[in-house]
Amino acid sequence: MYFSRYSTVARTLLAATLTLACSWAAAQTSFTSSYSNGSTYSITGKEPSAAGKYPVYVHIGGTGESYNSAWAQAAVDAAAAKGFVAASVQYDNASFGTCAIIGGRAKGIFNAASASSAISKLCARSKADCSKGIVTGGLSQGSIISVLAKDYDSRVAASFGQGTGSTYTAAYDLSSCIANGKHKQPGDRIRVINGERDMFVGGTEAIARSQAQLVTGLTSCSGQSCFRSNGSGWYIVKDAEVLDLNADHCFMGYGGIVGVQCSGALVDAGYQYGTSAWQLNATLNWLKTFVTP
Amino acid sequence: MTVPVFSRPALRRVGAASPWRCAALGSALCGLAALALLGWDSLWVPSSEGRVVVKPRLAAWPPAEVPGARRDDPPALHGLASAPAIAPDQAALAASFGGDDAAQAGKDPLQLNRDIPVQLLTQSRPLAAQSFLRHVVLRAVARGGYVVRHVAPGSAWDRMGLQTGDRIYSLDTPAMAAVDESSMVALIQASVLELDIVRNGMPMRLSLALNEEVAADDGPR
Repeated sequence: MYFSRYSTVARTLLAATLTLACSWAAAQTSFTSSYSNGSTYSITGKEPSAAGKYPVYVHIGGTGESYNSAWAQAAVDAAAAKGFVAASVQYDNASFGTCAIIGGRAKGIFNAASASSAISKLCARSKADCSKGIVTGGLSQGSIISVLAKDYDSRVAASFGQGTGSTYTAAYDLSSCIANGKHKQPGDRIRVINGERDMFVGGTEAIARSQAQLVTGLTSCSGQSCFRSNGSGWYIVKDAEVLDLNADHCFMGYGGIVGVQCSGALVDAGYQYGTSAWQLNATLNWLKTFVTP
Repeated sequence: MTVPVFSRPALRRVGAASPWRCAALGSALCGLAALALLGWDSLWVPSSEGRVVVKPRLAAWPPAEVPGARRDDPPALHGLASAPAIAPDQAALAASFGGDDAAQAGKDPLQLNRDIPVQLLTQSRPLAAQSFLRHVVLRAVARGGYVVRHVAPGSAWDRMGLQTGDRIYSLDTPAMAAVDESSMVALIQASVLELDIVRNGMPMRLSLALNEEVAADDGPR
């Protein structure tokens, strides 16, 4: 009886301590907003709680992915922890599309000339200073939008993409807009991370690599990764590097059906907290080199 | 003696063993013959909106001019809404919504559609329904289904040919309903968008190839 009572008190204290510790460690404030691209779309984000002005990180999820999915939230959390006003934006992602269609979605998010765009709404936040730089990241269709972002806002300093290529299945050829030189983001400001079992951009390590080379323009080396001196380039995630041993299109996912692409709704702990070149911390550290803190 | 047309097993079972079934079959055949003589259009019924409407005609399906349409598709409407009530004059119907069309331009379709539940438009594709409601303004019809009031220019629905005044009952066609929206794989693999509508009293299926590049002002370059 006494043991039970003490146990309950102890657990309560522990929970309270952890809650306080987490809130202190995070030191971030959540926010929501919205923008318009013909219709109203949601924005969810976090920003440092400390006073100051910060550069902006914009995350764009993949086709069918909720803008506040665990994968997107992990990226936003990591970016905010590194001193960004970070946000994940909703868009019309019920289907994939052509360069014109996905470009239209990118424009709705990143059109610096429109007060109703997502980037204008984010830059208007009191803690955001977009003159310090904007960086972007995304998955699949979101990664295409991430790379195309600079076409619509010259302040976008660097972009990363996950599951990024020019050919998505046999049906969609995006080379006219996503190949190196076809968009305004220079190849040396792009980092592409593809899983070796990404069936959309190939299905084999070799094809995933060639797709990454096509987008970044970095063809000087083969192997698992290739980076320029400034950290731009590409990385192919191997099965053995992810916890579910399936480095697919959504290699950051965990907890899904073995062998089924993008079925893991949870986040791979290594991706979220690790420090390897393909993981969030390293990627966001790389992005941070292109903005003013 | 067996008449060839009745030689299929499913119909042969109805045979002489059941006189009641024979009588029922005879009545049904008589009814069909009467319909053929009088015409389907003779079944006029008043609508709850006070307009005279006519029950749907079993038109040739689908009309040849509908892009991507397959002639062997049935004119079925795979919706949750009740049987369609079709206005006899589509042009008049469209004109009656012309003011709406002008008024809705520039307004947020989601707000204008806020009273339309996604689950009434689809059984299996809430993402597609949300996307649809972001680009197409609808008005619910008391007898079932929806009338299109406005289509966002340049949207997929506009490019597939959806027009003001068209009636829809569901977003689910057999091909579309098969797309598993919980799978990013399935969504990216889907390369065709289809929609069943009723226009000028005629059911038709619109379709659009999602992977065909079109000239667009808002392209990335």
